[in-house]
Amino acid sequence: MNGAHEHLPPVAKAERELVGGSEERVHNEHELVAASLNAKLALNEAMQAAPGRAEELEVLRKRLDSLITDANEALKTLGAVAAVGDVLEGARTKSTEQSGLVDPQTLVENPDKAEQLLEGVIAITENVSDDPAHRALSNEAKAALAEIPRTKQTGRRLALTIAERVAKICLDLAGLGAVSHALDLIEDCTRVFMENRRAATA
Amino acid sequence: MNAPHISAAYTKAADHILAQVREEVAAITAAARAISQEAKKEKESSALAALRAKLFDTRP
Repeated sequence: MNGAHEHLPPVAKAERELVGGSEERVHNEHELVAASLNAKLALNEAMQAAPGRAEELEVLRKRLDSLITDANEALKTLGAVAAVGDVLEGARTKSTEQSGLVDPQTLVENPDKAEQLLEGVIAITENVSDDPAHRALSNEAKAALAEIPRTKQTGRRLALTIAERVAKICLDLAGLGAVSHALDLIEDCTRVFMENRRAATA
Repeated sequence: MNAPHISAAYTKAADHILAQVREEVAAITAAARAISQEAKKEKESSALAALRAKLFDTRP
């Protein structure tokens, strides 16, 4: 993931990750869109060439839609969990100040990243069965997430208080030693996606 | 455990998902193109049959 950023100093590399997401993750989203467009084009051409086979083509169209929806959801969860996972690993290997990954000031300028981190926290904490500390953190992340859309409407900047809250939630999760949960969830995402696709194509 | 661990897991998972997407999209695209081709051939056959009928119409 960090291959393209390896020449950057650690803090700049962390900021690049925080601001734009990794190039790999963005590339994955682009690949999904391109694949979907090619297939849609072929389906539209077929619909014009063979209107009598509309039912058959509709089945293919629905299969494509469910594929893209499933893949989008899986990649979104993976991206969110990986974003938080980066923070958790950063917190384990160096001080927060050194890692620069949860700098509230940077989150102020990037509400989308704050949102992604909170979604990752929620996904991880909800995947841990019945632990009060994880449940409390999940509720706190949901409450913070609910604050973000309102803030976004006022000019795409996050209030510093919310940014600090997001940073604290990430650090609290790090305190719960959640790296292994993040890794489990990443595996689960793939497994659930593959099961959904097997069911869709059976 | 060091920093690249989550990244490596993410890369592996995303690759797996995108490979499945590629495979299914290729199958859907191929099926749609096959339908287009069949329709095109049917249309060509009909046009040819109509031309043949016109050229070799032996009715009195």
